[in-house]
Amino acid sequence: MKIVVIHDDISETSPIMVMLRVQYGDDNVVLHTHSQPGLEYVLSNLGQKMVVLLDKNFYDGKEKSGIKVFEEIRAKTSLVSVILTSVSNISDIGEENLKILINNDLFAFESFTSDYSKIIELIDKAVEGMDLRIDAVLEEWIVKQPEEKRERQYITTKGDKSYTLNEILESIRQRTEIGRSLEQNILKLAVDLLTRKNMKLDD
Amino acid sequence: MISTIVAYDDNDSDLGDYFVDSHENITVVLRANAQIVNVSIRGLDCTEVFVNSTITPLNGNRFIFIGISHGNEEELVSHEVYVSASNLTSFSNSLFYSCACLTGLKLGKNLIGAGCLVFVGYNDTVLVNVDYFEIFYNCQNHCIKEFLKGNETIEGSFSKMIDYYNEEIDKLLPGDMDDLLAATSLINNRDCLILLGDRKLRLNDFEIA
Repeated sequence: MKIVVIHDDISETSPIMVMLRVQYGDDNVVLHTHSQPGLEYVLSNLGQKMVVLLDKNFYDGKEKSGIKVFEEIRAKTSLVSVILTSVSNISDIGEENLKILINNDLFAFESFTSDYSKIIELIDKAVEGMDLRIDAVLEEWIVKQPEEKRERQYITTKGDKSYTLNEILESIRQRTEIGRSLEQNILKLAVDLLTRKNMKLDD
Repeated sequence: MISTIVAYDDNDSDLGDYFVDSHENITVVLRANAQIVNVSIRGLDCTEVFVNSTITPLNGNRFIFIGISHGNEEELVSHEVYVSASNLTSFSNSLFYSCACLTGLKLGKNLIGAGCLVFVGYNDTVLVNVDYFEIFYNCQNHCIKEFLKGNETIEGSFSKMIDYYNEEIDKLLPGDMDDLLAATSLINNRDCLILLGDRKLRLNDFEIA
């Protein structure tokens, strides 16, 4: 699990970075103080489970905003948890931007103050959530498969469609049919096993 | 004598091999019963005209039809549609067994409405994991193979197929992630199975003097 901090007001020596490194390990916490390199880092590491702590404004609006970065992450994947922070109030976010955040599954919004405990708590909660996400587990597994395996047919349907693992990965990230179907079937398998094993124990 | 017709799309680019193996898996049981007279129809002959002309000589007597191909809510499809609303009545007095996607939603009900005695199929998308063909067609064919042995009603055979799916799912569980994903596809297929029509029919109900 990687914690990616994209924030122009945090440095490598900031208390929040120290706290995160203690909790998640030096190698698992990454800081970008500019929005574009931060976005590029996230998009080039999509196979890695990530929680992103993202600032709303960069250098007084001179760089790509946090909301734009969030939108661009969501265009590629729904499997990254994003926590947006701002020194301003949530009421200062316009209606259109609020819709973007809410409708695209922002994990949390939190004011950025000198008390980091709330933000750390939210990051912990997001990490816990990622560990339990079936889509994230599937993504992580697919990314680890050899490219040759990922490019050949993996599942076909008798409705005349076929999917490679790469296509399934894309579908999981974009939350389209075959990816959602796989997630649902994994849940069904879990429920089915619990139900049938219980029945056997009760016999 | 018992008449069976098996249509299988050996010409399909994705699942042609699967359909061929699935067909062979069923015909082993058909050949074992001397009472059964089977006609198999290959992919390029899976047309409405050819299928209808194969059924016509049965003179309205009962028969068993098995479709091994792609499909959708209202049709069985090879390179062209070969079972649809336009030839439903050809299947009156039949047991209709479909392994295709979605046919349980409308086609099965339409067939029963047109005088088909019993329909076994799937009311959602049927998944097949490419490296697990044998497990998948063994599961899909289990009901009709049990029925053709002559000891069970179609309902009993259907129930045995569900049990067989469960056994195969359980066998995959100790395996790796590929095995688990195959098990989830089997669960998907098991849960969209549907049986319509006269559940008490037995093989001997299809005997023709």
